[in-house]
This record gives sequence, structure tokens and C-alpha cells, in this order.
Amino acid sequence: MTNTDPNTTVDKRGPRVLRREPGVAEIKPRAHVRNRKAAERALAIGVPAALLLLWQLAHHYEWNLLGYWKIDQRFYASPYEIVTSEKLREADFWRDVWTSTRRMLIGFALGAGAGVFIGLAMGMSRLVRAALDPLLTALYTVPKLALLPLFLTIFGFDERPRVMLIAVTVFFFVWISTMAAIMAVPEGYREAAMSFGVSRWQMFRHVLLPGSLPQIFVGLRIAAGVAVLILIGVELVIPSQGGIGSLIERGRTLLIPELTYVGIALAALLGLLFTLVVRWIGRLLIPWAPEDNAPGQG
Amino acid sequence: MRGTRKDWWLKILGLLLVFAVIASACGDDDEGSDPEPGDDASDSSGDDSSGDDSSDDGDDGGEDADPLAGCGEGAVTDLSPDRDVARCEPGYPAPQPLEERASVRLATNFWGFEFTAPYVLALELGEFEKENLDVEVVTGVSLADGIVQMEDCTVDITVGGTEASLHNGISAGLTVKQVIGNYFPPDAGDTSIDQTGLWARADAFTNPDDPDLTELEGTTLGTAVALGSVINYPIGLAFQEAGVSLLDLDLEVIPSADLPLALENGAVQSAWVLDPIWSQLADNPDFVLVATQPPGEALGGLYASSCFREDRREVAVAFIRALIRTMNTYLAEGYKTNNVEELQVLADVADIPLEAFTGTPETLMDWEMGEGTSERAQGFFMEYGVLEYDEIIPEDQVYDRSIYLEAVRGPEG
Amino acid sequence: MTDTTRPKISARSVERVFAAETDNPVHALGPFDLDIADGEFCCIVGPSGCGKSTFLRIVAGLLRPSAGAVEVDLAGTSKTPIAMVFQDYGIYPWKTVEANVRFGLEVGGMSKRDAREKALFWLGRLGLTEFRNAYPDKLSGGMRQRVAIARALAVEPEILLMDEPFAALDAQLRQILQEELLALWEADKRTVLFITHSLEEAIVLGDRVLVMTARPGRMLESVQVPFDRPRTPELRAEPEFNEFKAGLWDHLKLQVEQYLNELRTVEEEGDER
Repeated sequence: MTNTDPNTTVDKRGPRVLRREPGVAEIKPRAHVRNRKAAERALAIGVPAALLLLWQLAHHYEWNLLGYWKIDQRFYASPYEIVTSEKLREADFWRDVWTSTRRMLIGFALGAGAGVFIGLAMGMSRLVRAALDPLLTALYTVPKLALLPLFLTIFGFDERPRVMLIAVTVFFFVWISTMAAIMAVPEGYREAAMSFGVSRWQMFRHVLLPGSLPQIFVGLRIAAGVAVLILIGVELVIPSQGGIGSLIERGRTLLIPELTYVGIALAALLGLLFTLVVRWIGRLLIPWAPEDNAPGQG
Repeated sequence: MRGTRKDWWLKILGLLLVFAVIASACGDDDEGSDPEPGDDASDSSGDDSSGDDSSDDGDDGGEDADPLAGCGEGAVTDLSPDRDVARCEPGYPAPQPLEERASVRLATNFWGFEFTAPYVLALELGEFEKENLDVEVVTGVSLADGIVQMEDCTVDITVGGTEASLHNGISAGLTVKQVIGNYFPPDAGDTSIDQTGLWARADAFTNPDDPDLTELEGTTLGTAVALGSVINYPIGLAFQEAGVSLLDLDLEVIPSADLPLALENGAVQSAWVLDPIWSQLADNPDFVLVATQPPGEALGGLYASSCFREDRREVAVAFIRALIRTMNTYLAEGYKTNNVEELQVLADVADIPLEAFTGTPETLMDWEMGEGTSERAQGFFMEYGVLEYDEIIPEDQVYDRSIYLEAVRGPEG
Repeated sequence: MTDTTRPKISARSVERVFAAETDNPVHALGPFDLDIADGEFCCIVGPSGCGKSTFLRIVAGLLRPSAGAVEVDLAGTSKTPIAMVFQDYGIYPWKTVEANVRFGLEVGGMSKRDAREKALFWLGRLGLTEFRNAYPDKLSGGMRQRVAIARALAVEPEILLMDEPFAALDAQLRQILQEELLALWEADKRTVLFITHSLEEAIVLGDRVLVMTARPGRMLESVQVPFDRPRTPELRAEPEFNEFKAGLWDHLKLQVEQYLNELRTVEEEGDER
């Protein structure tokens, strides 16, 4: 019997032979994996680079997109202008960046801490869940930026309303994912532990916490992104006392487009870095979890 | 089968609902945005020039009666701070309707405040209509956003102060210029008369009767706007006269309406308080007025890019003419007693009681741009670090006075 | 059209290496040669990790061989000539029992009505009619595996691949499902490649039992099962059955021991490091 019998190989409607043969990946596995990784890296760098290049070109030649949207150099900054901006050399500017970073870190820490705590309590106790679930679920849907006037009234015009708004936003994301994570720990794990007569604390320490950590970190990572979102939102609404959002708003009200674009680029960078840091911490804490494929992976 | 039929009905119901919502939204829009110029205009401005049926587009009124007859010597001034504000007689400059109807899009942040009266009333009382102008108003647009949109002719004319953004835009090569002024308080410069200005807590001074502004150094100043706003020009001026820089104070941005409260509870020691909010502080010994707007200077007005100023000059002149006529006819000195009927129109637009307007002092509506305001304001903006350039732009690159001059003096200016 | 002398499935020097790009490649399978005739019920037994499942997945087209080739000779035109039943059922918890069975038919392009009709037929044959609107979550393990089998058979495949389908079931249930499977197979005699840990299961079900070596899996022995069909559960009690099983077990035992030894050396190597 030969492998290449012309009568039986191809005709799709009649009898046919399916061949299962090695593909490129099997014949040259090392080269294949190397090529794939190279291609992935090339895409990860190449796509943003290509977009930046397009942007630069559109700016340089003042393209008229769709016959409607003209890239006017007076209103749009190019990537080159952003990277080489004078603003990046001004101390005031970096003070604003630090102001934002600090607000975000403090707000995130407060919100994440409270979210994990309440989430754990609700995940572990039916009673706590019964007491808080309807309330928190109702509050969950409130757009947090809408709470700003309330927070301004409560805390006054200082750092607290801004930080608290970030904390509250982060809290809800972390709370929900933590509670869901605890409740999703398989019954079998709990029963196995109970059969050894564990205490409540031991159950938490050895089973529930590690069992739910991967999910909790998914929530933390989402919350990290949202923290930047709300941070910039708050700073746009009350631009006094600095921050990246106020730079963006300053650029807009003072008609300094460069400032706005530098601000937007920095906000994106801040969000990316922060998310990466949260994920890196997650990897350290949960070595057993499979690697995810969220953005930024090398 | 039954399931699918039910689905079918649900879809129909959903579609109907969507249509109903869209239809009602459109309906509201129509009612809301359509001013009714005809009646209002004719019965309120019974002076001259209107009244006749203008079906033949001003053939009979145009040549023999001089449309500028009511604009004499007083229609143009020397632009000095102590001048009398420019005025024509009521009803002047008379309408010179455009041959072809033209549409104008006006962008503004505010609609219905007293300082918006010239364009609100020109629209509501049909003064634009008399020029054969179809004016569309877009509200909620800041000066900076309006300037950007004027550059590609999306917006024709926009409202605002002589702000840092205007100067930054001009320095970046935008074609925007100020084409008309707006107003200033009649008693500007006199702190003994309560008005818009810098108000402070009396206890911030050792002698509140003769307040020394140096004592405010290091305290907190409340303002509704950021450093790039023109209001920081008169504030800066007041402090400069006392030898203090505004930068030596802590600035706290607080919404306009909350400023009296912030002063009261000590969150700020001083604040720039606008019309008519300062009336909450007047006659209260706890607060003193320490500085005002400089006399004879309008700090803002309307702005247009070359799209309107040059490419559609005739339309621009007609638009400005309608505004100037509105100022002369309904908003000239004494308007709070003589033109209550028109103020009622403004009150209706703003949806507030008439007393809110009649209870406060008049402002002087001024279509001219006083000399040097832009350059002096730039000086302060430079100090505040909100300008993107280092050399003051001369005012002929910021002001285009030719349009209002043509409106009151005719084409040769 | 089908040439009866040609095997339905023929594997030639099939090999599979995992993690081939790393410094520690795992040689899981082969070289492995096998011919399976049309209509044959072929069972593969072997120690854990010997590459049985790997081979099955290569036949199914879920995995490519690292070397060699498998040819599958098809007579019909169906879009799904090969169906697979997995150990962990592979049925979707978000679809009802009926929707699960319809799934293979609908993605194969069958009209909704025909698919429904066919699904109901197979649900009937597997005694699932009354559960057709239930979600799998509500079913016992045996029921779920019936759903998986119904889903596989509903597309009327030429070849049925079963990867330890009954491994997770208890002994009684397992025996019942074996009988049901036998009855279904007797009715239309499809080609079946059945992977199992259980010698007894292999002998009860198969025309032929293949014993594989420890990793890397190779063919150790191919034995025709000498018992007549249709077979009944009583077969298990026959002395010949047990004799036959004991003979095979001797072969298999050696392989299991070898596998365990290999594991031990790996552990020792690990300890030394």
C-alpha cells in the first residue's frame, strides 16, 4: 500500500483518505517555537510602532482622514513632539505625575485592602453575605464619578475626596472578584480540609486564600486599570492641586495641545506600569497558577 | 411556534418603543430650538426701521434713509480708560438685510446670564432676523474649544474672555481674533461701591476700612477659574499695585456659587466674586470689597477666525451690527428701568425671576475693545506661566476692530 | 467503493515528542505501527503515560505526529466522519442535553429540524429522552457519559474514538454502559478505537486487544479476542475469559513494573540534583 494513491486521496465528495502527518511545528520544533516567539514579539512591538509611525506621518503631512478629519499640526501633537516635549524636563510637570501616582497608589491600597477584606468575609460567611450583598450590589452600579460632589462635601477640597473616590471604585471591583473567588473554591478542597479537622483560620490560611488568590488577582488587575481611569476622571473634573488629569485639562483650556497629549501618553504609561506591577506581584504570590495572556507580556 | 410568535411581538414592541423615544426627543428639540422672531420683534421695537414689510429686502429703507444716521460722534471713542462708552441712538445702526440668507453658528459656554444679554436678546427679539441671519446657538462650549472649532469653520463665532488660551492659539498660528467687546461694571475702579471684584474676609486685615492687600500674602484665594482665565488679570493687577504677586497666594478653584460659603467658613480668605453672587456678601460687615475690574476695560467679547472675519465678512458685519443695535436699543444706560419688558425675555430664557436682573446694578454694555487690555493681560499670564511664548503679542494681532467700525461707520471704516 | 482489503486506519512509524523545542523533550509515543480494519472494535490497553491517548488524538486530528503518518480511509462524505468521546465527557454545561447532542449535527450543517429529529432519536436510544431539557449539571456521571456517547453517535461517524470513556464511573455503572455500548455497536458495526486501563473492559468489548509498552509507547502485542459475539455479561464468569485475561495481564504487568521503575529512577535523579 502506498501513501500516494491518486484514486483515494482528494475527491471531497467521495471516498477519501485523511492523512495525519507531522507539520512544521513537529518537523522543526525548535525553529518553529523560535519563529513563533519572534513573530509574537515582532507583533507586540511592531503594531504599536506602526501606529505611532502612521500617527507621525499623518501629523507631518497633515492628512485629511475620511475627507473630514484633518490632522492639523496646530491642534495635534506628534509622537516625536510628545517624547521630546520640553514639559518632560520641567520639575513642575513631574510633580504633577507624582501627585497622580501617589493618589492612585493610596487609593488603590485602601480600596483593594477593604475589597479583599469584605470580599473574604462575605465569601466565607453566609450571614455577612446576607447582610451586605443587596446593599453593595446596589451601590456597585452607581457611577463612582457621580459621587464626587458628595465626597467634596464630606471631605472638603483636599486630597481626600480624590483618593477616596479611587478607593471606592477599586473596592467594588476587588470585592466582587474576591467574593466570587472564595465561593468558587471547589467543595472538595473544603471537605478535604474539614476531614482533617481544620479550624476556621486554618481553612482560610491553607485552602480558601490560596484557592482564591488567582481570581482575586484578576480583580486587582482590572481594578488597577480602573484606578487610573477614575484618577484621570477626577483630576479632569477638579483640576486644581495638580495631577496628570489637570495637565490634560490645562492643555485643553490653555490651548496647549502638546501638554494634553503628553498628559494622555503619561496616563497610559502609568496605567500600563501599574497593571504590570500588580501582575508581577500576583506571579510572585501564586506560582502555581497558569500564566495568563494579558497585555504587556514579553 | 408559540415561542417564535411571542418573540416577534416582543421585537415589534421594542421597535415601537425605540421609535416613540426618538420621536419624542426630536419633537422636544424642534420646540426648544426654534425661536419665534416675528411677533416678539415687531411689538417690542416699535421705534423705526422695523414695522414695514421687508418683502422687497430693504429697497425702500436702504438708500434714502441713512442706516448710520443714529450713529454720530459717540459711536466711536478714543478707547481710553476714562472714556464714555460708545453709543448710537436706539434702533441704530439700522438693519441692512443680506441679499441672501446666511446662517451663523454661535458657540458659547453660557446662555441667559446678564452678560449674554446682547446675543440672547438679538436672537429672541429678532435683531438677527432683521439682518436676514439664521443664527444657531451651541451652548456649553468653552472659549478654547470654540477657537479650535472655528479654525475649520465648524463654528463661526464664539464667546469668552481675553484668556491665555486665546493668546496661545494666536501664537500657534490660529487666525482667531476678538471682534467685539462685551461689558464692564459702570463703577469699576471704585471699591466703595459693591460690585464684582475681589472680596475678602474683614478679619483678614488689621484695618478692614483701609485693607492692605499685602496682608493676604500666603492666604488662600478662591476662584472659579484656573490661572489662564482673564479674571486673574484684574486680580493680579490689584495685588501688583500692593506689591504682591498672585503667585504668593494659595489658589483654590471653587465653583462660583460656592465662593460666598467658602469665604464665610474661612476656607478662603479672599475670592473673586462675580455678578450677581457678590450681592450675598454686600452689606455684611464681615466682608469687604478690596479690588474691582479696572475701569473702562471689557475683559472679553466675541471671537472669530478668518473663516468668518475675512471669508464671510459681510455676514460678520451684519451679525455684529445686530449685536450693537441690540445694545443701543435694549441695553443702553438705564435699561433696568426702561427695558423691563426685554429683561423679562432674558429672565424667561434663563428661567429665573425678573428680580434677579432688576435687583442688581446695571453693567455697561460696550462693543469696543479698550486699549491695551490684551497686552496687559498677557503680562500677567506670562508671570503665571500659562503662555507658551515669551514675547507679548501686539494687540493688532489679537483685536480686529474693523468689523464693529464698519458696522457703525460704514465700509471705509 | 471501499476497498475491503485496505485498513480503515493505518499508522506507520508514528511518533510523538512533547516539548521537543526544549532541552528535556518527552518521547511519548512510538514508533508505532497499526492497522485497524473497517468495522473492527479495537481496544488499546497500556500503562499510564504510554501514549495511548496521544495516539487517539493523532487519529482524531487534534494533534500532529512528530514523525510517521496515520491514514484514515473514509467511505462517506460526512463532514464529521470521526467522532470522539472523552473521559471527562466534554459536554457543555451551558447547553441542555438535547442541545449538546444537536451541537455536532448543527455545526455539521444540518437543518435545525433534522438535527432535532436525529438528536431525539439518539437520546431515545440512550434512554435520555426525559432528560432532554435538563442541563448536564443536573445529571449523574453515567447520564452525562450517555449524553457524550449520544452526541458522538448522532453524527453517524465512520469511526468512533473513545478515550477511557468509562474510567470515572463506578463498577456497576461501567458494566451497564459497556453492555449498552456493545448493543449499539452490534447494530451498525462502526470502526471503534477504544482506549482503556481495564483489561477486562478491553476483552469484553474488543475484537482485538492491543497492549502497549511503557513510555515511549510501542506495540507490545496484538491479540485477537477469541470470544463469539454477541457477547453477554456472563462472559466474565467463564473460565476461558479469566484464563485469557491472566495471559494478557502477564504481558501488561511487566510493562507496568518497567514504568514504575522508570518513575523511580527519575525521582532518584531528581533527589540527586
